[in-house]
Amino acid sequence: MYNKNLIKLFLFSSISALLIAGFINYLVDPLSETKYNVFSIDKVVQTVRRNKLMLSKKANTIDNLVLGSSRSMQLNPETISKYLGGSTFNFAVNSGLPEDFLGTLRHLIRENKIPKNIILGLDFYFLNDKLLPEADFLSEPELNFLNLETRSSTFFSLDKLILSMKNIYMVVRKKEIEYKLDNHGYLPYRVQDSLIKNNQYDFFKNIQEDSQNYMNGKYSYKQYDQLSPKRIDYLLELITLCEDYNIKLYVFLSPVHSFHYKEINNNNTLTNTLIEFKREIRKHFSYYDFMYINHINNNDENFYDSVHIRKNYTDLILANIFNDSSLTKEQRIGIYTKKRD
Amino acid sequence: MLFNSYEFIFAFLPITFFIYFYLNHKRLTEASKAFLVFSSLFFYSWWNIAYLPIILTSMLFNYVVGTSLNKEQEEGHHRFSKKSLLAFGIVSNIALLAYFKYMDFFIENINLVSGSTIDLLQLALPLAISFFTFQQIAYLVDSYRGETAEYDFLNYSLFVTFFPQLIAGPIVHHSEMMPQFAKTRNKVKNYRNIAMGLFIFSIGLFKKVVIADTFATWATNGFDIAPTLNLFAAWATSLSYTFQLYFDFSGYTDMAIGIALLFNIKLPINFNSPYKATNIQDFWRRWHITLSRFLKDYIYIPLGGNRKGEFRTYTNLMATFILGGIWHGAGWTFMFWGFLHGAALVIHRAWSKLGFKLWTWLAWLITFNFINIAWVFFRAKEWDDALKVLGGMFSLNDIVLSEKIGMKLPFLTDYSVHFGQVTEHLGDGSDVLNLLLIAFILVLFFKNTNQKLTTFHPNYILLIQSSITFILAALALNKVSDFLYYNF
Repeated sequence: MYNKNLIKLFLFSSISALLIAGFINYLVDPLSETKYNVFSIDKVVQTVRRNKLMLSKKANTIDNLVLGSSRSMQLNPETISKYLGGSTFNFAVNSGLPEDFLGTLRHLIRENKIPKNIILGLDFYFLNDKLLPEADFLSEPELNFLNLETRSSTFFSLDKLILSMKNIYMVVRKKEIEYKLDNHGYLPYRVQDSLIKNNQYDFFKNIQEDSQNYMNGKYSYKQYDQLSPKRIDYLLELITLCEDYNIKLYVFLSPVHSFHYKEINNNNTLTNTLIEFKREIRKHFSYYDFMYINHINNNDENFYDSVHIRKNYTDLILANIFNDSSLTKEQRIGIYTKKRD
Repeated sequence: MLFNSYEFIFAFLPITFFIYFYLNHKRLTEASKAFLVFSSLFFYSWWNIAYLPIILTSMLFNYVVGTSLNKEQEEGHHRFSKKSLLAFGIVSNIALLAYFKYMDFFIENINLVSGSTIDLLQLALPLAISFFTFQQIAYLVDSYRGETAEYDFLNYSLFVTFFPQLIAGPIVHHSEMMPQFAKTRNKVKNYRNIAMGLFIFSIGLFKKVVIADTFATWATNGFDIAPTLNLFAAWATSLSYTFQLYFDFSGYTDMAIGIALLFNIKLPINFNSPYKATNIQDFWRRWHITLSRFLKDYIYIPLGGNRKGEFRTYTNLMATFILGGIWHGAGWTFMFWGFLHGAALVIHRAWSKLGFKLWTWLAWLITFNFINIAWVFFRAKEWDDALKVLGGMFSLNDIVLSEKIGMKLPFLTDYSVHFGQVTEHLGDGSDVLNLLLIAFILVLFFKNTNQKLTTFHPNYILLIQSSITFILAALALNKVSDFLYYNF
C-alpha cells in the first residue's frame, strides 16, 4: 500500500465513522440534550432527575411535593399523604441545590401540576457559593433555567454512542425502562438496608469517614465561607411562586449526626458560616431545625452516614412537622424557628 | 490548547499544516517560518494570553544573551567574561522560574519556620515555563560551548516555540532542531512522514484519552477522596497512578512526535518502554529521556560527574536527582521523590561495583515496585495522602476480598480478612483489575511506538489499527482533561 493511500483511507474511514456516530447520537439523543425527541422514545439514561421528570409526567396530580437533596429522598410520600391527604411526589434529587427546587417548581407550573403543599428539606451546604450547579441539572432542559451548559453538547461521543445503541436495542426489543424509584419518586436504599439487615453495616465507620470528607473539603463544604446571593435569590423566587399559586410551604433543616455537628463546631470557618446560614434562612422562612445535637442525632443507627438519615427518622421528622399527636415526649424533636426579618 | 481537543485536531492542526506547506510551496520560506511561530504563539495563548509576554520576554532575553555568547566565541573580544555572561543568563532564567514556580513554597516554609504570616503570592504557573526555561538554559550553555551559531531571531523563536514540543517537551537542543527546519527537502509534504505522523498521533491520543484518563479517575479517587484504603485498593491506587502517568506522558510525547512528523521534523524520543527496566539506571535511560539528558549534561557532569571519586559521584547523583525532583514541582514530596531516586541510583551503583547480580525477573520486580512506591510521593498532594496510600499497601490489618471468595473460604475472617468490595472507594473492582492487567501486558510485552516507527510499512493492519485508535479516542474527547506534565 502507498503512503498516500493509507492517509486517504485513514482520513476517510475516521471521519465517516465519527460522522455516523454523531448522527446516530443526534437522532437518538439518549441524554435528552436536544428539545426534539425524534422517535418519541423513553430515554435509557436514568439520572435521578431524569427519572423523576419521567415519573412526574405519569402522575395525574401532585398535591404534595417534596423538594430537597438526597437527604430528603428518604421522605416517604405515603407518610406525607397520610398527614396532608392527596397524592405526594418526592422530587428531592442527589446534590440538590436551590436552582433545582426553583427549576422543578417552574417546570410543574408549566405542566399545570401545581402542588398544594411543598415540603422543602434544606441542607447547610445549599448556599455554598463555591458549588457549581450539578451537571445532571444542567443537562435537563425542562429544569435548567440558567442557560448554562456543562455537559458537552457534542454528539461525537463514545459514551453517548453506547447509550444510543442501548436505547435502540430497548426500543427494538420493546423492553420497558426499569425505574429504581417507585411511582411517587421515592428511592429506597435497598443495598444499605440489606447490609444492615445482615449485620454487615458499620454505622460508625460510615459516619466518621463521611464526616471527615465533608470537613476536608472533599464534599460540598469545600471552601464554604460565604453564602451565595444567587442561591438566596432562587429561594426567594420559590417563596414568591408559592405565594402566587397559594402553595403552603413546610420547611425543615435536615439533621446531621452529632459527630458531624461537633466537627463543624471544631472548624471556625464552618461554624461562622452555619451561624450566618441559619440567620439567612430565618429571614425568609419559618422552619423546623433538626440540625443540632440531640439524642436522636446521637444514635448511629438513625443514619446511613453522617448526613443521610434512615426511614424511621424521616418518619419522625414528618411526624414532628405535622405535629402527630401520637408522638411521645422523647420523640418530640425539632426546634420550630419563626421567620424574623 | 490541548492536543486532545476538537479545536486542536479538527481546526488548528489542519489549518496550520496546509498554510505552512502552501507558503513553502510558494517558496515563501521566511513567511512559512513566521507563520509557524505565530501559530505556535496562538496555540500557547489559547490557554491564557496574559502569559504571552512572559514567553516573548524570555525568548528575547535568551536570544540576546545567546547571540552575545556566540559573538564572543567568534570574535574573541571580551567586553564581559563569557562565564559571567553565561552565569547572568542562567541565573536570570532560574530567577524567572523560581518567582513563578517556587516563591509560594519558599514563603510557606519561611512562615512555618519563623512563625511569620507573609501572604502567599498565589501566582498561576505560566504554561510550559519549566520546559521553555530548561530548553533555553541548554541553548545558553551550548552557545557558551560554541555548539550553536544563531543570529536570526525568527529561527530562534521557532526553536523555542515550535508548538508540538512547546508545552511539555521533549526538551530539544538547538543543534537537533534548526538543521531540520533549514533542509529544503523538509519544506515539501512528505507522505511517508504524514502517514507515520498520523499513526503515532492516533496511538498517542488513544493512550491519553482512553487509557490514562480511565486510570486517572481511580488514582484520584484513591489519593484524594478515599478516607482509608484497604490493601488491594491501595495497590490498585498506586498502580493506577503509575500507569496513568506513563500513558499520559508517553501519549503526549507520541502525539508531539506525530505532529512534528507532519511538518517533517523528527523530535527525539522521550520514552523507551521504561517499565521494562531492570534497574533504576536503566529506568532513567528509558523514562523522560530528554530530561535525563538535560540533567546529566547540564547538572551532573558540570558538578564533576563520576570524575572526582566515588563519594563525589554519589553526592552529585543525589544533588542531580533532588534538583530533578524540585523541577517537577514546588513541594517537599517532589523533593523526597527526587531524593528516593538519587538514593536508589547510589545504591545501584555501589551494588554494581560489588559485582552482585540478580535474576532478571527479580531485578525487574524490585525496580518496578520501587518506581511504583516512589510515584506515591510524586502524586500525593500532602504527606498524609502519601502515608494513607503507603499505609494501605503495607498493612495487613485491612484486607478485603470479594464476597465470592468469602463464600468459599469463610474461615479467613478469623485472620482479620473482610469480604466486600475489593477496590472500595475506587470504582468498579473488576474494571480496575482488568485494566491494570491489560496495562501490564501493554507495557511489558508490546513494542513501543518508537519501535513500531522504525519498522513502519503502510498496510491494511496498520490502517485498521490507526483508524480504530483514532476513532475511539476522538469519540472520548468530550472528557477533555489536561496532560499531567502541563503542571510541571
